[in-house]
Formats: sequence, C-alpha cells, structure tokens
Amino acid sequence: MTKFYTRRIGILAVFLLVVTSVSAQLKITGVVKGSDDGSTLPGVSVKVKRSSAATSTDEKGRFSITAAKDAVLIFSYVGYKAREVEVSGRAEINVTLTADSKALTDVIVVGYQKQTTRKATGAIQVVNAEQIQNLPSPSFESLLQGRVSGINIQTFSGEPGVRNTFTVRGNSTISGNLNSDDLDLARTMSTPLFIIDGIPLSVTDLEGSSATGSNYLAGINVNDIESIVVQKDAAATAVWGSRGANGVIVIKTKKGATGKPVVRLSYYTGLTERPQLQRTVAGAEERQQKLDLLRQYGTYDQLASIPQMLTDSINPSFNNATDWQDLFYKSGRISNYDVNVSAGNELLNYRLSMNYYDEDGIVRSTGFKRYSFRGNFDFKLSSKVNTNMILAASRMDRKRGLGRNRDEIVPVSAAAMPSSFVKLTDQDYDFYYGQYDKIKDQNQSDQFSLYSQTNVDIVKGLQYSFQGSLSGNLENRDRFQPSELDANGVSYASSNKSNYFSYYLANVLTFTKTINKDHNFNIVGIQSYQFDQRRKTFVEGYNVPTDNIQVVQGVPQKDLSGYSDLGKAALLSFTGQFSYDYKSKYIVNASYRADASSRFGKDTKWGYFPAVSLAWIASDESFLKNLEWLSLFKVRGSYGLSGTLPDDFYAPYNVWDVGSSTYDGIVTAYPSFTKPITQPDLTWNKSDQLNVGADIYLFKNRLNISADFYRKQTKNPILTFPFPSYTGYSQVSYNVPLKILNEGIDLQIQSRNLSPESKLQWTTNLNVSYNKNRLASLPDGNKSFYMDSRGYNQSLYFTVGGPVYGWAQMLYQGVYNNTGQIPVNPLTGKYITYFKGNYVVKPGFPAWKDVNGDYDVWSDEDKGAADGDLRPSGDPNPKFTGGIYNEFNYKNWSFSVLGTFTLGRDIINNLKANQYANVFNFGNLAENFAGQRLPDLSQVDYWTPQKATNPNYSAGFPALNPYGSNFYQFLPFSTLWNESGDYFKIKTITLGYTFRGNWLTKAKIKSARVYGIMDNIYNFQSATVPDAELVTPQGEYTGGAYPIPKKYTFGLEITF
Amino acid sequence: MKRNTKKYLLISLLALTGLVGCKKEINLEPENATYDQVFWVSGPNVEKATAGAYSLLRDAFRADRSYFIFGDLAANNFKLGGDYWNYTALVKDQNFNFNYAPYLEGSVYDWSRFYKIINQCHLIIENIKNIPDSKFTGGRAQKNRLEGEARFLRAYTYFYISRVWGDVILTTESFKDPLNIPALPRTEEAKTLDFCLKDLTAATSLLDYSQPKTHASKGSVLSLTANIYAWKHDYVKTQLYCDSVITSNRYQLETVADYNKIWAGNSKESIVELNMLYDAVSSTESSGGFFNVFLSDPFIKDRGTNSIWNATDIADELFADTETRYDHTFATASDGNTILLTKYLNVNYYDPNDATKYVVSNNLVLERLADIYLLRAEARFKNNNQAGALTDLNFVRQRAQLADFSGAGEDLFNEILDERRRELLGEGYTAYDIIRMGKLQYLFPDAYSNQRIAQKGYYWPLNMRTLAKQNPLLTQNEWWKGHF
Repeated sequence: MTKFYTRRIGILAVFLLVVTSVSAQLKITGVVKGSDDGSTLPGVSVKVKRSSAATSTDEKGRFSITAAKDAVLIFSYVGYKAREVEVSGRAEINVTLTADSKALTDVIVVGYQKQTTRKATGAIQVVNAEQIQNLPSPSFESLLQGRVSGINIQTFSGEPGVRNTFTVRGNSTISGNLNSDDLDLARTMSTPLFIIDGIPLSVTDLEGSSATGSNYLAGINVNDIESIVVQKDAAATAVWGSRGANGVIVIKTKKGATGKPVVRLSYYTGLTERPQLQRTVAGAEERQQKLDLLRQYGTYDQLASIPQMLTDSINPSFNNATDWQDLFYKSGRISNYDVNVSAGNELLNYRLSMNYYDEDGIVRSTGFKRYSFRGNFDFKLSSKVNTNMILAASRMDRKRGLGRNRDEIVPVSAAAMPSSFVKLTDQDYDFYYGQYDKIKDQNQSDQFSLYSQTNVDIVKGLQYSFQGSLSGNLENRDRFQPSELDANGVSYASSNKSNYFSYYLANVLTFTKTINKDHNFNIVGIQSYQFDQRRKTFVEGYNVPTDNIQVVQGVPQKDLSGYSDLGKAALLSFTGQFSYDYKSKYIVNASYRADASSRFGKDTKWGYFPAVSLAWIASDESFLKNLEWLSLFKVRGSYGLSGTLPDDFYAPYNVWDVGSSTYDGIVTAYPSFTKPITQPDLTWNKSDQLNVGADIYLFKNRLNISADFYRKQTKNPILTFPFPSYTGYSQVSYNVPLKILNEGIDLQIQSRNLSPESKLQWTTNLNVSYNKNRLASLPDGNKSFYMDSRGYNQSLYFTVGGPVYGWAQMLYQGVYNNTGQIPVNPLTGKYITYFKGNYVVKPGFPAWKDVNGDYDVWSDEDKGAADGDLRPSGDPNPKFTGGIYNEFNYKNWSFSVLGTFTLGRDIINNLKANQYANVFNFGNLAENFAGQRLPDLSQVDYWTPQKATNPNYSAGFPALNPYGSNFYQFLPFSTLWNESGDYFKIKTITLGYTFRGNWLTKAKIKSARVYGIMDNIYNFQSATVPDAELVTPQGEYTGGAYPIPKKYTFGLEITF
Repeated sequence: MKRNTKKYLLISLLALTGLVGCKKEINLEPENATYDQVFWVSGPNVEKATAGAYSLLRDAFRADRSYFIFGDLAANNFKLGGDYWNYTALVKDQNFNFNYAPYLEGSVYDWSRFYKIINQCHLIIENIKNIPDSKFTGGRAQKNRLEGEARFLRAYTYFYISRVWGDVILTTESFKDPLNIPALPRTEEAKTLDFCLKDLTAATSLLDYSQPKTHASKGSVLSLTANIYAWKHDYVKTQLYCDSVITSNRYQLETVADYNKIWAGNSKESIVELNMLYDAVSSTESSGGFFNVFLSDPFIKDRGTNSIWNATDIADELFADTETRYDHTFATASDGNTILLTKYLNVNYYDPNDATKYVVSNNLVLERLADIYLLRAEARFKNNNQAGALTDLNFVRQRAQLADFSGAGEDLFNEILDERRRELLGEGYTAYDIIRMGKLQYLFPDAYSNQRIAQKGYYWPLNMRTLAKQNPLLTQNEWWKGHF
C-alpha cells in the first residue's frame, strides 16, 4: 500500500512540489559524461530532487553532493536531456547524459495550470533569479529593462521607490486630463497584472488610495525572487480575464531546501553619483551673455537703463556665480544586506530571508529604505496532503524631499531658476537646507502578505487545491512644517493614512490523464473570489499651537479639515483550463473564464473571456527529426479575449459631489462631473489579441530564436473622456466607443557564441520589440480631437491612424532672415501675422508654416476650422525597444554587459524651451531677464540685426531680443524643440569572481563570490536632454524630473 | 476505479460551486458617496441640489469674471489696467474683437459651465415629482417652491447664454444613457425663449414671495419674463409683466443715501440676487477675486490701479457731477485721478493671521426694481406711450437726484438707454441693453459694421476645438467664421 502511494506521488511530484521522505544522509561522488562523444562535462548542474541541495561538476566532470540514501539526483545541462537517478544507497554514481536539445522541462504556471516551456503555446518569457540578483535597484521591474522582448520600461523618474511605466505590447490607456494636480504619470500608461506567489495584485488599484506614493512592488526584495515570467499573449492573459489585457507578470519567490540549514549572506555597497545636469553659464559668463543680448538688440535709450544686477558687477549682492543646481543635487550611498536560511526534512522545509536596502537619493532629502522579511514554508501533512505557507512583511521608508510633484523634485522650478548673480545669504541657505532639516515628513509603507496553498490528492490524476491569501498595505504620511518656515508664520501639520486589504480564495481542481501513452490531457477547474478594501483618513491643520506639537493636535476648529474614505470591490470568477497534446507534438490549450465584478454595471456583471492556442513541434516530425542542426522548431498561435477593470471601485454609479461648497449657508449637492450618469451597462475594457510565433533552436541549442507577431485591439476602454458638454458634463468616465490597436513583433535571440568545450564561454541575448500604436477608430464617425498636453504646451492630437498621445504643433521652418523672405498676403498686401493678427512678422521671427493659408499662424484654431495651423508632428511612443546582453565566463571570472535601447521616439526639450522664454522681460527687465537663468548661448547662432546686414546671412535660431515682441515664440507649441528620443544606453556592467578551492571547504563555506557592478553608465543619443530616457511617457523633458543616478557597487556573497 | 474518479469529480465540483461567492458579494454599493438611485428621496436633499444649482451659477459668473466681461467690458463701461493685457482685444480700442482672448478661452468661448446648471435643474424637475410631499419639511408648498426655483434657474440660464452666444443647444431633459448621446445642432433663439417662457409660466404658480432674495421668488419670475419679452421685442407683454412686478408692491427703490445697500444683501430694491456674502464657516460663498476688479487702494490695501478696471472715462462721459448718485457710484483711487466703481465696497479682511487675505462681501444683484422701471419706460415708449415712458424714466432719475428729463422721440429713447447705462453700470447689463435697444452702431460705429450686425457679430465666438469635439453638428457663429 505504501509503495503504491509512493509511486503515485512520484508521478504527481513534478506538479505538486510535494515533500517526500528524507532519511539518512550520504555523500555521493561521481563523474558526468556526454553520450555524444563520451567526454566529461564540466558545469553540469546536480540537484537533489525536492531539495535545494545542489552543486555542479568541475572541469573534469566530477561532482560531490550530500543526499539521502533514497534521494533522487537530477543532472541537467544545457543541450542535454536532464536525467534523474535514484541514489539507492550508492556512494558513487557515474552518469552519461544524452544530448537532447528538446529538453525544455522548465515548469511555468499559466493561469492555474502548470506547463512545461516545451509544451507552452503562448508568448512567454522567463527571467531567472541569476539574471537580476544583486543589481542595485529597489524593485525588480526596472531590472527587466532590455532583458525581455515585448515590454517597454522607461525610467522617467530616477527617484528610488517610485513606479515607472511598464507596458506590455504597447500602451492601451488614454489619460483624460494630464493636467490634474496629483497625476502620477506612471498611470497614464497601461500596466500589467502582477501575480506574486499566486496572489493577483493590481498596482493601479493599490495606488488608487496611496498615502505615500511609493511603488508597491519595491516592497519585494529583488534577491528573494526565484523567477519572473512575462506572459504577453491571450493564451496566458485571458486566464486572468477582466484584468489580464495589459499582460501578466508572474513572480515566484525562492523556496526552502531539504537538508541541513544553508545560510547565505550577501552584501553590497556603493555610490549613487550626482547626475550630469544641463550646462548653465554662471557669473561673469552669464553677465557677458546677457549684456551681449541687450547690446545687440537695444536702442540707445533702452541701453541707458540696463538693470543694476547686470551692470553692477562689483556689488556683492550681484557678483556671485551661484550654481543653483548645486544646492539640491548630491552623491549618495547605496547598501543592501541580505541574510537567508533554508533547510528542511521530510515533514517541513523552509526558507527565511531578511533584507535591508538603503539608497540615498541624489536629490537632497530624498531616499529609500526597505526592511523586509519573507518566510516560505512547505509542510507535508500526510502522504496525500501537503500545504505551503508564505509570510512576507516589509517596511518602506521613502523620503520625498521638498519638490511639489514628480515633475518638480526641487523647490525651485527647473525652468525658472534664479540667475547665478543672486547672492545666497545665510538665511537663504537656511531656507533651502534648513527646510529640509526642520520639516518633518515621514512617509512609510508597511506591507504584509500571507499565502497558503493546500493540495489534496483525491485519486490518481485528480488533485484538489485550496489557495487563500491575505495581503495588506498600510501607508502613513505624517508631515509637519514649523511656523518659522512659513512666510506668514503659520505652522502646518497633516496626517494621511491609507490601507489596502486584499483577500483572495481559490478552489482548484486539476485532472491529469494520459491515454494510450500518446494522448495527454490536463483539465483545471477554478473558482475564485477576491475582495479588496481600501480605507483612507486624512486630517490636516494650520496654526498648530506650538512647534513642539508636530501632529494635528490643538488646532483651532476653523483651521482644521479632514475626511475619510472607504472603497470595496469584489471579483467572483470561474475558470476552466484545458490542455491536450498528442505525443507532445501537437498541442492544444484552451481556457475560458467568467468574471463577475462589482465594478461592472448591474446589467453587465459578467464578463466572459475565452482563449485558444495551438502549437506544433515540427522538429519532432520524422522528416525533420534527423536534421542534426535543428534542435527545436515550434510554431505557435493563440487568440483570445481579456480585459481591464475600471480603476474606480464604484465606476457604474453616478456618485454625487456633496458639500464641496455652500450656497446661502446650505450645503450643495450636484452630480460629480466626471462620472455623472448611472451606467448599468458599464463593462470591462475589451481586448482581443492574436499572436503567431515560432521558436527555432539551432546547433544543439547554441542559437535560439523566438519570434512573435501580435495584433492587440483594445475596444471600448473605460476612459475619462470629453463628453458633449450640453449634457452638463464635459468629461465622463465610460466605455468610450474607440479602438486602440497595438501591433508588433517580439524577437528574442540567444546564442552561445563559442563551442561548449571552450574555456571561455560567451553568451549573447538580444531582445527587440517593435510596436506600432495607433487609434483604429474614434467616436462620432472617427472625428479627430485635441487634448491638452501636460503643462499646456504642444497639443495632443487624436486621430485615426495616429498614436495615443501623438502631438500636433505648428511647424517651425527656420528664421526669417530679412524682410524679403516674409510672405505677403496678395489680397491685403500685408505681411503675414502671428497670433490672430496681433504680431506682424518681422525679420528675426521664427518662420512658422501657414498651413491653412490664411496669412496668420497661431497654435489656437482659426475659429472656423479646428485644425488651424497645427499638424501632426511627433509620436512619443517608441517604435523599437529592447536590449542586448553579453556574458563572458572564464574560469572563475564572469563579466557581463547589458545595453538597452529605444528607437523611433520623438521627444521635446521643454526645459530648454522654458529657459529661452526667460529672455523676455514682460515689462520687467530687471526681474525676469536679469534675474533668471538663461541657457548657454555660446553655440547658438541667433539672429541679430547686425548679422542680418549680410544679405546672405541665414540664422540658426530666431532673434533673442529682450526688447522684442513676446508671443511665447519659444514655447513648444511649435516644432522648434522636437528632438529624436533614440538612445542606446550601456545600462549595467558586472564583473564577478567566484572563489573555488579547498580552503572553502575547510572554512565550511559552500560558495563565495565577489563582484562589482556599474549601473546606468553611458547614453549614446543625439538629443540635447541630459538623458533621453528621462522624459515623460508623453515625451517631454521638463528638467524637473528626478535624474537617473549612476550607481557603482561592490558586493560579496557567501553561502555556508 | 473509473467510477470512483467520476464520483470524486462530481463531489468536488459540487463542493467547489457551493463554497464561496454569493450574488450579494459582487453587488457592492458606494459607502463613500450618494448617487442618483438613493439621492432623490427627501426634501432636504432637493434643497441641497437647489443650492448646488445656485452655486454653479455663481461659479459660472465668477469664472474669469465673465459676468462683467460679457455685460460691461463689451459695452465699453470700463478701461483696463495694465495687468489685463490679455483682455485688450475685447474692448472698444480693438473694436471689440472677441476672437482674441488669451487665457480666457475657457470662460468666454465655452458655455459648458452653464449646461451644468441646466442639467442640475433638469434633474430637480424630473425627480422632485416622485418624492412625496410629506418628505419636505415645508410640505407641498415647499416642494412647489423648489420646483419653481429650478424652473426659474433653467430659464434664467438659457436666457443668459442666448444673450451671450446667440443660438444655444436646447436640451429639455437630462441625458441618461452615456453611450447614446445624440449630436445636437444649435436651436433657433425663438424656440429656446419659448421654452424659457413655458418654465416661467409654470414657476409663477409654483412660487410666492416668501423666499429670501438669494432665491427665486414670484417677483423674480415676473421680472425675468418681462426681460425675455423685451429681448423678443414683444413690448406689450414686457409692459404687462413690468406692471405686475411693480404693482406687487413687494419692492421699493432704496433712497440715494442708501444706494449702496442695494448690493449689501436683502435690500428693498433687489428682486433676486446671488449670495456672495462672507461666511466664516464656508469659504465658497464669498470671493476676493471677483468684485475686487473694480477696487484699488484705499479700499483694498496696496492694490494698484493696474490691477483694476477703472471707470474714469465712463464717469466723465455719462454722469453729471451734480448728481448725488455719482458720489455713491464712484470714488477716487489713492493715486488721485483714477475713478473707481464703488457699488461693491464691503471689503472684509477676515483673517487676523494674514493681513493680505480679504473678500469683497457683496451680493451680485441679478434683478432689481430700477431695471424694471426703466424696462417699462422702454416698453411704454415702444408701445407709443411716451408720457408713461417719461414718468418711469424720471422716477428712476429722481432717486438719483437728477433733474427730470423732458425730451421726446429718439432723444427720449436714447435717454432711456443712457439712464440704464448709468443706473446699471458695473452690474452686467449694459451690453445686452445696447443690443436689445439696437444701439450698437449708434454707440460704436467703428466696431459694428452693417455686416457685423447682420451676422450677429455682437455675440461671442465658440471654442470649436473644445466644443465640437463630441458634437459634429455644432456650428460657429457666422461673423466669427471668417474674422480674426
């Protein structure tokens, strides 16, 4: 009987990760050879099954490992078929591995179903722990940059602990109002669903009530991650139904091992370097530059009254060369401490890990600290029942500095920094530095999660499993500003608390059956339920009685305000997954999910998400089987539906806005103007995706190519969208009848460039993603429309065939050098004008194209035709993104370089635009022109009357005339500041050395490694912005974003 | 074995479906807000909605001070201080070129904010009938009053925007289905005004005189009706409704000594006004950024005349130094020569901790008795009763302590216009008075060509880029199609 069960469990073990019995330990040695030429194989991985004990063979193919007498050893090596060998009490085991390229036995989880990579039918890419561990970053997402195809991660803020954009296969979101005060730009792009150890988590939901603004994912220690699986097509995402449309990222953390406790210590430390900033001129150079401008354009009379700040160069108030940037930016330190222990016996195994991560910001008074704990436990309750439990807790402490938002991280606007002449008094320094010290700003997020899964083997092939989890995110931000720092002497205190709880339950029934050896079936039925609840309490008060009280206490009633909030959402789902394969050669996967969400309208509670996918492993066919060079040729195809839930928990309800004002003493009530109409039919963002792909592995897996073509349509997305204003509402969140299309190609090439025998090993990994984002249809008969860009500079133009967030601008065509070049209206005989006739064009003016031919150019419309002189002019969505990774291993040394790139993207240098706009004095030469920083003009050939006396002169730039007309000519509503956003970045270089030798064993050290890492090293780009990556998702460089620091770290890790 | 499998499978499936998940759990209703289905249940809620409608109207007028831009700047009542560089095209010097208003596009080219009020009134009128009388603290009578107020506000708003932009888009009920909002063309003015009059007829029987001046009453309905008929040039009806306001005996002219009481709230003369008096509890009632456009130092400390619209020219041109009203209408700024309008003068420095914070605590009077007398003078003139017209005109002049006027014919009509311009200066009336009385070319011959009058170039342009976004049937006002 016992034997019967043992065998049965053995069959199921692959799927269930069941802990089996371990008895007395035994030291086993042996040699591993290859079957092809009989030579010994170095570097073969030797693992004890269902344990973390592992080693690898040395140069002569020898290994030594401790395992139980009845353990099973797994030998695996790239290009060879993995082999399991029962120890059966033997102390010496020699193994021959069969060369087999098709040994793709990595198990990945798709939905609730485990599939081997070989049999997977979807577009899936796996990133293993080794590729990202110890890289100096608070969270794992940025580390996927360049390592996975089909995703686009752009670090538009280098601030540690905040979220950046992460889109899978193109953006499918439109943000209705880019100018709302508390906009987080990361939310203007679509975001995938994260499944962390089985718990589905929507970061956008979590952020919806965030008090701290910190990235939830930064609570996870990167070094706890075992693998990250990026699932891109409908074959995988449809299983997640109403949440899967933007891709699914499955994260698995490391599990316990069997055997004696293994302790691993890891530590790294290093520097974060003060960034290279926009070059500015200061002191005498600045004075010279400004005086030059005045002299070149000013009349005799005008020059009589040059601001004192410029003329009085010996006045100590004005003879400084203050670098304002210097005040706020600095270098910092970064450190990471990891300790983990894992062990196990026949009934229990565990892994405990603790982590402390500390990154100083490169902007004064910013930074990120994380303390985290994670415990993974597996229990064997009986021969038929096993259960596991994962406990995780972390605290994030993120200092936010004095900036106003993520666009403006320092207290002085980047575009309007004061002139360098201004003397900073001690009080000024106190103000800028002192504020940092005296202001209290505690910004803390605490996370915990509990996850448990219990598997019960009912009968052979049938398993029931129960999954349950509770995760919580508790956030606090407490602030205090003493009265001395306020111009009016008013102190301020606030306390902002938010918490988010998510409960999740799932019942999973898995049935596996093989008929006649060749027909393999796997059916999974799932019922699951998730309940999310978020709460918030905010209270603030002015005039706190004394500066000793740093909380909201004793505040006069009239200076006190506060509110609380509560939101609940529920999701009930039924899912079926089916897979069948014939001889592992013809594979069919299908899934069907039904979701009922509380966030849908009452008549459309249920959403249904089918998907089907097929694969054919052609290389297994007899006619290809004999091709030596072809290791694998697999063709895949998938189609399915998935969706996105509304961010708003109560989206279908037309909530009212009560009490935001009073009239004649009566509290007012009116419909909220963003969601004013009850929507019984509100439903998910409908996405369907077609994917066709192929995996071609050549030359014994030395060259592996995967390519996927996809077409993803997002229909009727829930957006806050312009609405006919005669309804009373100008913007409404609803299923907008439009269609966004993302089409593209994901290409992934892995190669081992040198022969397996070579001592030097060189692997290359190239990922290229091509995405074309466009609007396929728009409401009201495909009527194009405009939206304001953030900061109201260029217009955003939405038109069929154009991209989301594409721009429309006036076309800058150079400079009118002389009167002869200025067009004349033949009807009136008058020169062309700008701004509705308000500025008659003169030499030195920028030449803007008169698109509508009315002899007036303006960014605003001619009132008769909406387009006026605007033309589609730029696309901030990159066409190509990706990365190239090269790794070299030689003896104990390893060296790797990661480069990332983005191509085919337009960006705008808004900072420069705003700095040039400072030339104008608005009737106040002293304050604006003299008192503000100008860009470096030494290389700019701007038009001057002097130069223009030469009839052949062709100016490189319009006149910079402080006395001239100001019609905002330097703001980016024209294409003057458009640049190419293309870049190739040398992202990470790692050099490592692994210690080997007998002394390790004597010191009872299992392994030891030291390494150095350089991160964010160099950009190749044509753009004039400091870093072409550091622009907003809509393509703007404002100068106020947090720079991406360069990091240099050195670390070591030891396993005992 | 096989049978067992099936049995287990069946049991498991049953257990599975029974375990969790009730219908109830996926029907979650907001606990942090009220919404349509639960809102329309009680009188106090309707009161809140009505207060909402008034406050939306107040917001709409305050937006960029558009109430005074439309009513006064467009009639050349004020000269702009230097801070108002972006308003310069709108005034007489630039021939009232309404098409260039940088930073003001959101208010002067966009009627959206008025449709918020209209929709709010739709909602009140549609839902109030389903609430039982007993749910109102004042029973049936209060229910009627609330409906009457909504009808007044709807009519007032439609009439107001018709006078600013010309033909509007007439909606007669709220929209319920966001996915099927019909594209709507502009409605001809006559139809809109008829709709307003229908509302007002209904409101007459719903309202009485018991409401405070900050809410609509029967008197305000009658005055508005008189104004709409005058706009339609139906002067017989105008006279009729003016009569009923006057004979109701609910309103009296304030004496000239008490002239400033008119805007201080709840005056004898006021028929209906928007509350903007300072309220220590709510910061939304009063504003520092609305009436202050007329006031500089000494009334508002350290506020220079560059920041205001001054009345220097108009005071000189229209007013006789001898009239007592002048002293209550104007004052000289600290600079010694700029003339300020002083109708809204209750500057309140309310914050003891911050000497720079103030509001101007006055009400915005939308209708008052002097207007009705002058309107009746106009109607009587048009109805060939010049003697009656003179009586009404002089009644208002007497209060101002001006000598009686005795002219006749076009002189009389022009004097009625000038008296309106004097009496109602800075109250958002004049531009519409000039249009209604057909005096644009007479006053501003350079700006208003025959073609501009014919193409109704006195209306304001619409922001097509914003408004036409979701309404392909929207058209621009004729004159502004080809002019900039």
